[in-house]
Amino acid sequence: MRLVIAGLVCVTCSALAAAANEALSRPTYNTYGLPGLIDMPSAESAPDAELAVSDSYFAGTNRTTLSFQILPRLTGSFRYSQIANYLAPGSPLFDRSFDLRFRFLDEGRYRPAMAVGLRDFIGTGAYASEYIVATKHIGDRVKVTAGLGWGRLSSNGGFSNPLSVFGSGFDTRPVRGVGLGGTVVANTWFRGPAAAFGGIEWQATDRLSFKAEYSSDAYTKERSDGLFAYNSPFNFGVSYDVTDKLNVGANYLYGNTVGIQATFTFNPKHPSKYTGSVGPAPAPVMVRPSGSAADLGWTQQVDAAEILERNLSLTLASDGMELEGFSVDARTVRVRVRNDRFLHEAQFIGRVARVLTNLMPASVESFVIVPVTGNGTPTSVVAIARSDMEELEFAPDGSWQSYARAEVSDAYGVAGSIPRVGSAFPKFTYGFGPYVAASLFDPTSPVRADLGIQASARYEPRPGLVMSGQVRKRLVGNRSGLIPSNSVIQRVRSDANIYAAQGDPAITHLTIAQYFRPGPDLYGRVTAGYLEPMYGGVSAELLWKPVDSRWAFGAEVNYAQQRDFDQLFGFQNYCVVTGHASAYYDMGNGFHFQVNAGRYLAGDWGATLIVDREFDNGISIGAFATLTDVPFSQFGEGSFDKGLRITIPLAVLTGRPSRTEISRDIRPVLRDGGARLEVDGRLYDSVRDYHEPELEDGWGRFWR
Amino acid sequence: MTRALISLLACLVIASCGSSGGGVAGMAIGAARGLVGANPKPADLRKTLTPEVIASLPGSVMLIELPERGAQAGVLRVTQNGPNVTWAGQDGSTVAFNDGILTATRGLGSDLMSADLRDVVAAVYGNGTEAVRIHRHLDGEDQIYSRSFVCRYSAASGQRAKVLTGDFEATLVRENCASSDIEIDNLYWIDGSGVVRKSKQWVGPDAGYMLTELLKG
Repeated sequence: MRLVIAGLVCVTCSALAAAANEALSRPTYNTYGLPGLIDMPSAESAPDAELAVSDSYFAGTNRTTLSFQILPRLTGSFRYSQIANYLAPGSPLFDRSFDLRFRFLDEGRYRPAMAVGLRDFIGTGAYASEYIVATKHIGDRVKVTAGLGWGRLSSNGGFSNPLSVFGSGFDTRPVRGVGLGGTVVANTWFRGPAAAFGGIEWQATDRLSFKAEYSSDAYTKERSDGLFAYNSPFNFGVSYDVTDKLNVGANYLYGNTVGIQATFTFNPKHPSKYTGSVGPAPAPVMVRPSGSAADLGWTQQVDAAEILERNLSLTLASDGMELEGFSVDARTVRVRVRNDRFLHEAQFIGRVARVLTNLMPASVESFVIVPVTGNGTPTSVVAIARSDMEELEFAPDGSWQSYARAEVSDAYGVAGSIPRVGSAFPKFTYGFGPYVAASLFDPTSPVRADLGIQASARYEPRPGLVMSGQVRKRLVGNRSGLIPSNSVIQRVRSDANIYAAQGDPAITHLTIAQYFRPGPDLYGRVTAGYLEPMYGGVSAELLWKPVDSRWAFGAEVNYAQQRDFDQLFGFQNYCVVTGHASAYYDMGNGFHFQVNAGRYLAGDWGATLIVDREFDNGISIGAFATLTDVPFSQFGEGSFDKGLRITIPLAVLTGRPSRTEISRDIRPVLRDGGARLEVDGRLYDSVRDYHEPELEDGWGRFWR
Repeated sequence: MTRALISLLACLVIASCGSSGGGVAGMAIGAARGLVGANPKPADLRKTLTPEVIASLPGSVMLIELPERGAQAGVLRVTQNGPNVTWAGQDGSTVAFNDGILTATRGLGSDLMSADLRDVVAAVYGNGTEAVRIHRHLDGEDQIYSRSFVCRYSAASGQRAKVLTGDFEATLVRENCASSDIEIDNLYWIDGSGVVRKSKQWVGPDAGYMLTELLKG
C-alpha cells in the first residue's frame, strides 16, 4: 500500500520523467506480461496508461496477463495462469495472481532506471517473488538489466539475504500456505535467500529485438512435475512488432524448451486514429443580421411558440436529441433536452445551442438549456448567450472562452417551470437481439459463456417514471457447468450455475422506477420489481451532488428477496435489508474514488473501495475491494471480494457518436461475501455527466 | 490482432435491433473501420462533376479532396460568420475558410477545430512576408491542444492554374510553415479578382493536406 501512496505523491515528478524516457526505445513485454526480459523483469515502465494483454506459453505453462501502467512509474498486472500437473499428474493449477512494479529511479546519463516489484502478491502464491532491478541503455539500441530476486526468483543460485543486515528476520522466508489465497502476505516479502539475475536486450531494428538472460528461477516444482528438463539458466528470445499494437515473440528457455508469446497493447489516451470522431458536423451557427434583434413582430403572432417548438423538436430529433420542454419569450428560450447520441455532454449542449441560433427569432438572446438524464431527471442549467455563439464560432480559443462565458447552475426549480412538449411523452422503446453472458476464471474452464437472444422494452409515460423489462432465452452455452457452490455462508451469488441452468427463459429484470428531484442538489430514485436476475424487491436511493462539486454523497436502502432459480416470477425464502452510504470524489487529475459502506446481500457489514483512473474520452480502468465481517476462512477462495473494472465507450473505438459503453467487472472469483445488489439506474453516474468537473473535462467538444 | 479485437468487440456488443434504429451492429462495423482505417471508395467526383451537374447545383460549389484519405467531396456554401464562410458536403462534414484560407473542419476526423490566422490572411494577400498561425485540434482524450507555426511567404504572378472547370491566370502564393516537429507547405492560386480559386492546405496530423478547387463562385 505504501507503494501506491508513494506513486500518487509522485504523479507530477514522474510525468516529467516519462516525457524524457519516451526518447528511449519502447520496452518489450516478458512471459509474465510486464515490461522486461524473457522470464525476468526489468526496471522499465510501459508508456503511461498503456494497457497490455499478453499470452505466453511454454512447457505446460500458459500465462494470460492484463497489465496497466497505472501511473507513469507504477505498473499493475492481473494474471491468469494454467500450470499442468501442478496439483497432481493430469490435474493443472488454474492460478490468479496480481503484480505491482514501482520505478523509483529514472534513468540518467550514467545511472540506471531502478524499480522494485512484487510478483503474485495477492493470490495463492505459486509465483510469489519480489525483486529490485536496474536497467540502463548503452547507446540507443542496447539495454542491460541486472537485479536481485527473492522468493521464487531466488530458487536458482540463491545466497543469504543481503537485507539481513537490517535484522535476522530477513534470514528465513516464512512458509506461505497455498491456502485460500487472495490476501496480501507482506510478512514474507524480501525474506529468505536472494539471487541475482540479469540480461541484455538488443534492438536490431525498429521492430525486431533480441534478448538473452540469466534466470534466477529454477522452476523447481514444474521440473519435479515432469513438465520439462532444466539444462541451463540461460534463456534466449526474439521479439517482433507486427504492428504498433501487436508484438509476437519466441523464446528458447532453460536449455531445451521453446516458448511463444504475443502481446496486444492499447493506450486509452490514443484510442483510435480519428481524434474528435468522424461523426457528422454540427449545424453552422446562423448569425443574425445587425439590427434584427430589435424586431419583436413575431411575438404578436399567435402560434409563433407552437411553430418554433415543432421546428426545434424535429431538428433536434434528426441529430439524436429529444426536446422535452420548451418555452420562449421575446428575449429568452428555455429548453429541456435529452441526449440519446453524444458521449460528451458539452458536445450535446453545443449542438443544441447551434440549432437554436438557426431557429430562434433574432430577438431571442438568451439560451437556457436544461439537459435531462436518460431517466428523465433534469440535472443542470447551462445558460449561453446567443451573441457569444456568434462571436466565438471561429474564435481561435473559442472552446475555453465559451466555457468561461457559459453559466452552469442547478436545474432544481427551473426545469419544472418549462412547459412539457406534448409529443415527447409517453416514450416507448424496445429492442431485440442476441446476448452473450460470460463467466471468467472458473477453475475448470477459464471462460464460460452463454449465447442467446433477448428482448427488452421500456415505457416512460411521464418524465422520470420508467417501466422496463428484459427477457432472455439461451441458445447455447456452458455456464450451467460452473462448479457448484461450496460456500458456507448464505449463498447470495455463488449459485450462479443453478441460475444459469434453470433460467431458460429468464426475466433478467422487470421494474418500475421513479426518478425525481426532492430538493436543491438532491436526486432521488425508487425502484420496485424484479431488480436483477437473482433478486427482487424495493430499492430507494438519495444522492446529494451540487452542480459544481467534486464530492457527492449518497444513501441507498433495499429490501431484497432472492428469486427462484428459474428467474420467472417466484421467490425463495431468503430476504435481506441491504444498503450503503456512499461517498464519491473526483480528484481532478484523472482519479476517481468511491467508498460504499453498509450491509451487503449476505447480511454482512463492511465497505468497498473503488479507485478508477478515468480518461476524458470516457475510458476508465479501476480496481475495487470489499472487506466485510465475513472472516476470510468463511469467505472461501480469494478471502475477500475484489477485482478490476473497465469501461470503454463504443464511440472512442468507432469514431461515431454513441452513448453505448462496454463495461466489465473482472473478478478472480465471485463468492458470497461483500456482494452488492445490482439495480439499474443508480443516480451518480448519470447525474455527474452534466455537472462539474465532467462538463469542463469534455468542453473541448463544445464546438464539435 | 486488430481483427481479434474486433471479433472480441463484436462478441461483446453483437448485432441487435430495436426502436432506436441502426443499433449496435452498425456500430461494431464502424468500430472495425475506425480501427483498421478502411473507407469505402465512392465514384470519382472529377468524372461525375460535369459542367451540367455543376450548373444545376444551387449557389457556390467547391471540390475538396483529401489525398491521404483518398476522400473527395463536393461542398456547397451554406453560411457566413464575419469573414468565415462555411461549406457543407453531402456526407455531413463541413469546412470553413477565411478569405480562402482554411479555418476549421468538422466531421473529417482529427479535425482542425480552429485556426488563428490573424497575420496569415494579410500575408497571403501580399501584406507581409512572415506570420504566425496557431492550429487547434482535439487529442485522443478530447482535449484541445494547439500547435503553432512560423510561416514565410513568397508569391509568383502570371502562373497558369488548372481546375476542373478550366484554366485561369493566377498569382501562386507559397506558404512555408514550421512548428517544433513538422513543416508544411501550403499553396494558394489567387485569381485576378483576388479570390483563392485553388489551394493545397494542411488540415492536421492525420488528415494531411486538403486540395480545394472553386468550381462556381
